[in-house]
Amino acid sequence: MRTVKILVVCGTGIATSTVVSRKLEEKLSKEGFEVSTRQCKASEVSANLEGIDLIVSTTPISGELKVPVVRTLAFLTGIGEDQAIEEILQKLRGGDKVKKEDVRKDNKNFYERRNSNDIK
Amino acid sequence: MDFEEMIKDYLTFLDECFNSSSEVISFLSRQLEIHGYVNDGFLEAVLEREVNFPTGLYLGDINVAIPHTEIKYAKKSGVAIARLITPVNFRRMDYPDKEVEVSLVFLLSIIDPKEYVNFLSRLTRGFGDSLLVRKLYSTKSKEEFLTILKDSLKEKEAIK
Repeated sequence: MRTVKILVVCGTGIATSTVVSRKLEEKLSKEGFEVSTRQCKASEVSANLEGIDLIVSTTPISGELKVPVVRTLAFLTGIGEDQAIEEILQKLRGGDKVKKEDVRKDNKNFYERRNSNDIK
Repeated sequence: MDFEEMIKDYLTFLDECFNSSSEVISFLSRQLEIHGYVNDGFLEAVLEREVNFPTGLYLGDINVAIPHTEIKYAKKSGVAIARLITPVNFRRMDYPDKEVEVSLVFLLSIIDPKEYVNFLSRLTRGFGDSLLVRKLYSTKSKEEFLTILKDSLKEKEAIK
């Protein structure tokens, strides 16, 4: 099976992205993927794109990228993790068909769902 | 390092009042400085990072922020904590053009990259537990606050 190469991005490319990388590797290996991750800071994404299948970022990335991006804090906070995995799987399988606006909507939905659970 | 050791009574401030995120960060930074945790330039570096890469985490009703900077500004590993009576606005890490009302602020001073990752990992995983966050937010005694927080860091260590 081909290894999926993911670029994990955060503000400084040190601590936060490493936390996310570990969690991502754990989660995706459960889904049957062989994952290799690389970390970098948000300002250095374009120089780190070679061979990358997908970007997972905790922060916005400027510029047009040919690689699909999933922006999420789910692997940091644990909130909305399953949905984030679903989104990643969808992008890995079907390419970047989801627009940024839809991702925002999704994120909003995670929180709304979570909040409504809290109320119970 | 034992992560429980990083949580100190003298670095934890419950039910404080501040007008802005920079005010909270400045206050907590001063505490770290007084107790010999950080080098000159720590506060400026944290504030600058906050401008470029904010650290507000939207969790739901009780939100947190984890301001931090590079290890070169830290002398000792520790975390200064403020619980706010009235939340202050932080910009969101994931959507910096949006703000989030933050009630719990954790200002990190960490000297080792590996430790950084492990501690941040433990701390943030706790944020996914809304019951834990609620407890930290509502407990009246500082002792209990510290116990709950330390336990949350310990439990995760056992799982991993």
